[in-house]
Amino acid sequence: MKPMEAYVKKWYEALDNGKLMGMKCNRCGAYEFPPVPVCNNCSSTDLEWAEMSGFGEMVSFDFSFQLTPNFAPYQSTYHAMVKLDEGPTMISWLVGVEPGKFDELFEKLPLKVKMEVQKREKYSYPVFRIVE
Amino acid sequence: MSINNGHFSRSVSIIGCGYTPLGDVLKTPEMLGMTERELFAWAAIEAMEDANIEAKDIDAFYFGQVGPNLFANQCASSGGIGEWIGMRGKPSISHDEACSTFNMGLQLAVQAVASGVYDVVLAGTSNAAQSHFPLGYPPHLREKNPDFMFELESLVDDAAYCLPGNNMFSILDGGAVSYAQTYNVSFEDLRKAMNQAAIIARWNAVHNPKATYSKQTYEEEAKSKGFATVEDYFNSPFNPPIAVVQHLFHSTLICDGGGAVIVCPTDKAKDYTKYPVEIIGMGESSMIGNHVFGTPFEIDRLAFERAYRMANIHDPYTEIDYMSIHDCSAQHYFTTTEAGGYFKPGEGWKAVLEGRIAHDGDKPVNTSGGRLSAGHTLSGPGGVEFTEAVGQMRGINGDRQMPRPPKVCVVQGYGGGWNSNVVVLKRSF
Repeated sequence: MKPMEAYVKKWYEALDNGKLMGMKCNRCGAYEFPPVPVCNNCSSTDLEWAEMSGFGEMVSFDFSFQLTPNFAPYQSTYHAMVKLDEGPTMISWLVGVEPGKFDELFEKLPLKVKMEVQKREKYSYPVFRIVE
Repeated sequence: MSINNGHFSRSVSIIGCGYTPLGDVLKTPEMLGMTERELFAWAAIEAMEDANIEAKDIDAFYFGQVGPNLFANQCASSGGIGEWIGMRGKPSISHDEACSTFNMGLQLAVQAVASGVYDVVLAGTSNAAQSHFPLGYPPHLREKNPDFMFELESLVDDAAYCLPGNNMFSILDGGAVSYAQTYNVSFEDLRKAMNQAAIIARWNAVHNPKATYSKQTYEEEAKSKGFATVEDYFNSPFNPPIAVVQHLFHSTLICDGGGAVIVCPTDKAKDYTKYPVEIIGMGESSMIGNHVFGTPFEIDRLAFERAYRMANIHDPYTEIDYMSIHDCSAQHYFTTTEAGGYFKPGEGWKAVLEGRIAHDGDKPVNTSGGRLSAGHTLSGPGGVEFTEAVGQMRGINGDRQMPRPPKVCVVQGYGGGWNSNVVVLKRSF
């Protein structure tokens, strides 16, 4: 087998450097994001690291009035449900939208979004921003 | 995605079931001061008495508990808790599939019997997750947990890539938003349907003697708080929004408790009880379900499809008489029931609004009061749900009894987005 890598560590370290890394399957071409060592589409273990475009379509969203304590300082409460251009789906914060704009957002779905890296105290994390 | 999910090597039936009161070990008189052990033993002994058997007659057991290290400072829980039900030395497994834990334990028990490895197996769970005890102290010295314990991201997502601030409310509300988008229904209409689901669930819980939290129907509660109508009460600050569609009264009622079910080969079931219930199909799916959004949830669709294929159910709308679903949010009453074909796509919300899910409606759902109003023990509500379905078949559910006892019932569990689990039951008496 291929040597096992520290996927989680490597993903977060790439984020620290502003890069959104996934895995591309060399057998079927499917992407895994965030990274895992086996393709969930065709079962191949022949995957390689690939930088994601960061673009995707927000197909739905939700909103939390109350965040868990470890995320409370960040004060963002929308979650964007996004189908990335490369195929995988992802949920993360939607930044740059005022709270309470539910109907307005809903009427505009699907919306083009782009991932960007948000720096935190000890690590970085991808969030989404509307681009149109 | 195809998997081998074909048939049982031999038929298996439920011969006994039971569950504890649903309440708080720090407050509820009949369970005051109890730990997870007493709760499990209570449910297991009740199930044994229902099946007319004793511990010596049971070959193995499966013990489920959500977050044993998080809530109960315990590893490998089944090894110790077996002694509490007279099964010292018997084979056992400890497991955790979040809110689908009970349902998964039952599936494991059925598989063990169907394969011929064991004849009589008990599946049970318990949790007292509203409180915890400090490391190094005995488990009756409990302190109430802060509410955030139930919103930990790791309960609903992979801790490696944990979504920021994601919790059960937001995930499930995303399902409601997707439903609104897919079927062009307004948030307001969905909210009205969810109000109706909550009102019916509360009525059921008030008429379930083991649901200790629910003493008044929503109509009675509205009146007692000075509101002219139940609608006014639902629109008041007592029911604040917690997400886009969801308000507080649409959310689950966390409680402590346990449940148990005992299964054996169908050809031996009538040696124990006059009222066995055959398990004719099971299906399960696991994934980080919250990442595969939309309506219905893909994880649910796969589990229902597998169970129905095994049970030879082709038209669930007409072939299923009663459905039990995981209902930690009121939106499940139309999203999950539709995933299971109990309602046609896009029509579930109207059926809920029209009250068809009531015990005397034509499509009853969760007549126990459900996780929404009877209570959600995290690991254990499956015990309530199987007992309720078996009780409906036996015609013993009192004020909540369906006018015509169902022939075919479906019980679904949904564990934090990790696990969806469907069991099809058939009355065999």
